[in-house]
Amino acid sequence: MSTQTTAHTMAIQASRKPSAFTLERFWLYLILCLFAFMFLMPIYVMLVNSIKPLDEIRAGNLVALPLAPTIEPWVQAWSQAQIGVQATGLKPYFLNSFLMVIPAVLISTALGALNGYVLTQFKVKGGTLLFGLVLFSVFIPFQIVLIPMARLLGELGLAGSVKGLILVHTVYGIGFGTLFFRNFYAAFPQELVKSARMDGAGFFVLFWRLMLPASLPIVVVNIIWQFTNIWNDFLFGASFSDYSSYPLTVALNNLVSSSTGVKEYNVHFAGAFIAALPTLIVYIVSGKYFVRGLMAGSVKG
Amino acid sequence: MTSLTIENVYKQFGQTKILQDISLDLADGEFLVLVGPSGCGKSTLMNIVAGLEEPSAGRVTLGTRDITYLPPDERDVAMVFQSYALYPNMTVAQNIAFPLEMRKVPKADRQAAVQKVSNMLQIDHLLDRKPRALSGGQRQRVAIGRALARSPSLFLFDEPLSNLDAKLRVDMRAELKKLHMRTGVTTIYVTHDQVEAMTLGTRIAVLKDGLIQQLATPMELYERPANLFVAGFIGSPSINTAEASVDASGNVCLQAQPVGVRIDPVHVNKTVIFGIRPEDLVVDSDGVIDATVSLLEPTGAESYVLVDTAFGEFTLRMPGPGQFNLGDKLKLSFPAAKVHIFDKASEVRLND
Repeated sequence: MSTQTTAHTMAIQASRKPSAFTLERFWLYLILCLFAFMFLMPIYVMLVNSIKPLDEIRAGNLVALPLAPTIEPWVQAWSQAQIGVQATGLKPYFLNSFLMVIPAVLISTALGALNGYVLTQFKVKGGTLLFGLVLFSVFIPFQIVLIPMARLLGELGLAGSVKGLILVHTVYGIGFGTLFFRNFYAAFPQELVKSARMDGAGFFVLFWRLMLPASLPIVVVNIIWQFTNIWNDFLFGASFSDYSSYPLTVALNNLVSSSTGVKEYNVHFAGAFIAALPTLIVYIVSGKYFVRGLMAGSVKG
Repeated sequence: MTSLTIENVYKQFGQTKILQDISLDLADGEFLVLVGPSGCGKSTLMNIVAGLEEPSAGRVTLGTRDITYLPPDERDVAMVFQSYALYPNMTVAQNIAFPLEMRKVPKADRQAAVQKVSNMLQIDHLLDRKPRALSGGQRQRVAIGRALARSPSLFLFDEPLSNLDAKLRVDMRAELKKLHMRTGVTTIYVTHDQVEAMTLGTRIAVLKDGLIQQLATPMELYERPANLFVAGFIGSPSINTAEASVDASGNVCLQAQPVGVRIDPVHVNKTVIFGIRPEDLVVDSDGVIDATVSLLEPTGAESYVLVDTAFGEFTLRMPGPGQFNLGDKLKLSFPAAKVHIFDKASEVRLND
């Protein structure tokens, strides 16, 4: 009996949670800190230099904190800098980007969800081939479609407009959207669908009332993906838009490359930061939905 | 009024035959259990009745309507699934009302129906909860409530208790039986659990390899299995079997010792299978079978005694804890009326 108890306490001692800061942990943290530093450094440099007067940057030390912080470069970049013909700042192009990205993301997400729903829940003749073709569009390089797309936009009368960019990005977004939703819906519990069909749910009711509410995680994944891609796109923006419809990325490029006279680095930093903010915010706000399991409770888990 | 007739239903995928010539007749209010090992086609048959799959041939009639090719929602059939299949984004009340909403039942009537079934199933305190906040037993009640709310003419249960723990399964089994007695709705119930089949069914259809092996009342199935498969599938512990011979006058003999059963003399000189249920073996000093106790399995109310005999291992069912020790030498006898004889090749029952 007593030997048993001793063995028992020993076992407990042996499995106590290790609290000591071991050498292994030290290396682990060191490497993690190094990577964190690598990723955070550029953001720090951008932020710090965007609130310095130009002389401080010219003085040479990019890493130093500002001596006389000012928001003037941000105001400049936002509403005063010379980008097109007029000194409008990035403001109108920021708006252009939103006018482009919101409809493009919503439409491509809706179409991707519908495609995924049809491809998984109905026995579509040639569905696998169709899906393969849709998937193929994901791998087509942007450059290949530039000329045919320019032609198409011209025929449709959408060349040089935000609407044209919406169309281009929607078309490109369908491939990934379909991929995401198809894979998500392929794992959707079959008995739920059967049950809904027996209860009398038709094509759209089943989709709208049952599939879509359960799809929040993949909707968020798709939105983050599409938003980031479309917001950051430069090639289509530069190819298919004109002065009135430039997205922010193109305007930023113009701001940085076309300014005459003095290079206003602080304004450039502020402009770049403005351009990067929306994707950053989208990720921070919606990232938590990645981990949410919304299917809990529907079937035995 | 709402009888169900399944006539000559076949189902095959390419060369694979899932169901072969299935014909069943359910009277109004009958509780038919489909039982069989996995892959026997019982769920496919259920899906064909539900309208989730189409038969390759055959006809399904509910009441006076031919429903063979009707879409599932026009059949007036409700189904309870093994995984409960509750809609995760809707509350319990919305789940129960969903089939009614799809049928455009006015809101007031829907609420009344939800109240009625939730009272009946004692889930009225859960109406505002989402399925994920319910226990397994509660989820199953909600699923049953959702099926009940439509007042269908036919109920289908696809292994509804398989996901519950043992204790709850027994409770829910009794409740299902009470529910059926109260509502009197014609029901088909699929299970692989023979205890569920025996306790719930007014009749049981045993399926294997897409064929109905036997369709009979629970007691008939137990006392007069039509073939060796049914004899082995129904009953726990399972039936004891041994090879036996048939003498010139048709007497079945275990090692030249007649067992007291005569079969049709056409089977003379054949090898047959002798079967006896564990509770029909009697310890008897005049017995013909010599046995040695090799294992004791007390379960409380009764105990199973495994014995070695010249014909292989037999199991005896004894009331109480059992009075034997390992290695005890016993002699066993059995009433001739309780003996089952099957053809060795075709496995078909040979005696009456």
